[in-house]
Amino acid sequence: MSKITVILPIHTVQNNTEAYLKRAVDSVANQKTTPKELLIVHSNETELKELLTSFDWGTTKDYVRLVENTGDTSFQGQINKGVEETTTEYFTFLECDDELSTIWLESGEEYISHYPEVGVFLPIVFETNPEGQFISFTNEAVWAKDFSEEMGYIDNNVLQNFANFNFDGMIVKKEVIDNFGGLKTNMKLTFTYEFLLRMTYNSVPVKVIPKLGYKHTNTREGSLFMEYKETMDPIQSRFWQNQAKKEYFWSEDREITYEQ
Amino acid sequence: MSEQVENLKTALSKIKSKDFGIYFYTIDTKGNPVASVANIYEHVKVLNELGYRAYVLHQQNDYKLYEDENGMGIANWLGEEYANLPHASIEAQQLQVGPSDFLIIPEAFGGLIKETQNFPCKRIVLLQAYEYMLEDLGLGESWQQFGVNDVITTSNTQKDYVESVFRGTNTHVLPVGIPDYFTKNEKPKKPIVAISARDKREILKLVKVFYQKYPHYKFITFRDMSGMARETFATELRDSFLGVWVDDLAGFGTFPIECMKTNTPVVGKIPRMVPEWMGYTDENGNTQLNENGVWTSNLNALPDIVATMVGLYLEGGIPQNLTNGMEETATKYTTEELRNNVETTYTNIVNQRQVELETLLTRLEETESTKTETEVTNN
Repeated sequence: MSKITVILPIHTVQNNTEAYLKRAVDSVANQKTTPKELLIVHSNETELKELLTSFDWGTTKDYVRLVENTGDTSFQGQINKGVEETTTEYFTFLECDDELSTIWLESGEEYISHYPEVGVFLPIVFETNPEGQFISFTNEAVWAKDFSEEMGYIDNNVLQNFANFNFDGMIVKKEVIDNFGGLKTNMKLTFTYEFLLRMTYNSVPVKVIPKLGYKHTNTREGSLFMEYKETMDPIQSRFWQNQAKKEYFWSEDREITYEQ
Repeated sequence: MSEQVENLKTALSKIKSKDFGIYFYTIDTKGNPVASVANIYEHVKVLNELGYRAYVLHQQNDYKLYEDENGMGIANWLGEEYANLPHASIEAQQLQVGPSDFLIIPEAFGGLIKETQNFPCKRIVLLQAYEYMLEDLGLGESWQQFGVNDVITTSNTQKDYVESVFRGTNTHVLPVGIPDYFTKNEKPKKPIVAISARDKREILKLVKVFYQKYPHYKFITFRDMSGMARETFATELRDSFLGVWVDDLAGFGTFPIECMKTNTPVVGKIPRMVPEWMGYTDENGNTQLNENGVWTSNLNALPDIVATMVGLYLEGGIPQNLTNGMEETATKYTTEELRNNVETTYTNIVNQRQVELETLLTRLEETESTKTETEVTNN
């Protein structure tokens, strides 16, 4: 059994939620190494609770645990709630419309045993459109020669110039969240980026495992990033980009007021 | 007793007491790591450990043992202990041989075979690259013609080949031994492809085609493995997830074995002479390839095969039959086997030389005895 907990946040029911959730849960069930626990962090929305109660958890029923989040149910808030509930040394998270590759937890275990000093492991993410067709990889660039100071690691200098990392599926040592804070709910759009900046600023080694660990459904209608894409103009996007570079020095989630 | 008989008796006495030299003629690679030279050094090292007086014999006094402003020497790319082995220079007139001594000449030095035909020592050709064995020989010329009958080679395929070209050759097979520092990596492998190619243009072509056809794999690093110190080479190979080998003229093929020993799957172009570890020819004349690597006869297919291997690596799906095949081959060609083979081969060679000299001595003594009897009768 793995020493990694899988956190799966879900806050509302949309079109195809059940089908997507089935696919996500199956990807956990198909892991070569069984996770210690599958934490489903959900809101108190009635329809969602009914769905989760009647849901066929398959073989994950032996280790799935439903956690109702009565606090902040933003994506970041859900993850933070999951981290609070985690009893293992490491955790990963899976968006409800995505999939872990079958080797992800096994690869994570292998890399944890060889690199215990690393606080955050990212997968190479396989980006697809909603039809499952390949779009691109993300996070792979750090393995290119001379991209970062040390091949395979994301450092703060790299992040100053290159923000396009995807932390979906990342395996995190819980201790680094305890020491340097979780995901910031006051950060919009660039909370991923801010998190990585904060980790590297605090000298937490961030390594990309050169394995396709995560299949990310990009541009799905109703997803958080589609919502951002539809509602934010370029000026606002730039604001959050700059804000991430200002906020990462602080572990606490400070109030941020959007100004043009 | 004639001086000739006296010399032969002295030579036999030296052979029996291991008081003779084995000289390995070696080119000065000027600091460039070369597998065939590394193998010669292994022979010299083992023979000295076994109590023989083996020397690396070089032409000029300025043979490059240590690093200078122009690059590495033997000490740097092979190791200090190799630089400390006995060396002798022809220029310094340190080669003085008698009937008990041995001169080992690499296959490419046909000229040296001719020049040394009147030397009193035993001469043996060390054949590592069959492609060069006719270098410096004229049409119709053979090694036997210049007094060389014995050959040491690295594989049975090369043995069969040389014996088919130079009939009547006495061939000893002494496979290459891979140093013990070619071991599996404890840490996971990196997305790096290690390439070894005799023709460097093949490396550039492969990389260019690969990046052109598979732009999403641009993060994959290709590393030319030439010009590295041996231990650095082993470390780099251990880190790589894949090895690529292109050497049409290979006689043995050390690189793929080194890959297998470091648990690095290898993709290779099948050379003109199929190495015995790669496969064999069945009774119908068909080549049967082993599953210890991905072998192709189509050079143009290499970028696509590399891309497939990248995909398998990223998905953690390197086939089990491939890793099993690699492991099986990797158990062979050890330094211990090399040591045993060096001991057996050179003991046989020395014993054969002893028999040759004893036969010669008997004949000479009989001739002298007959001559004395004739003289007595005549008187």
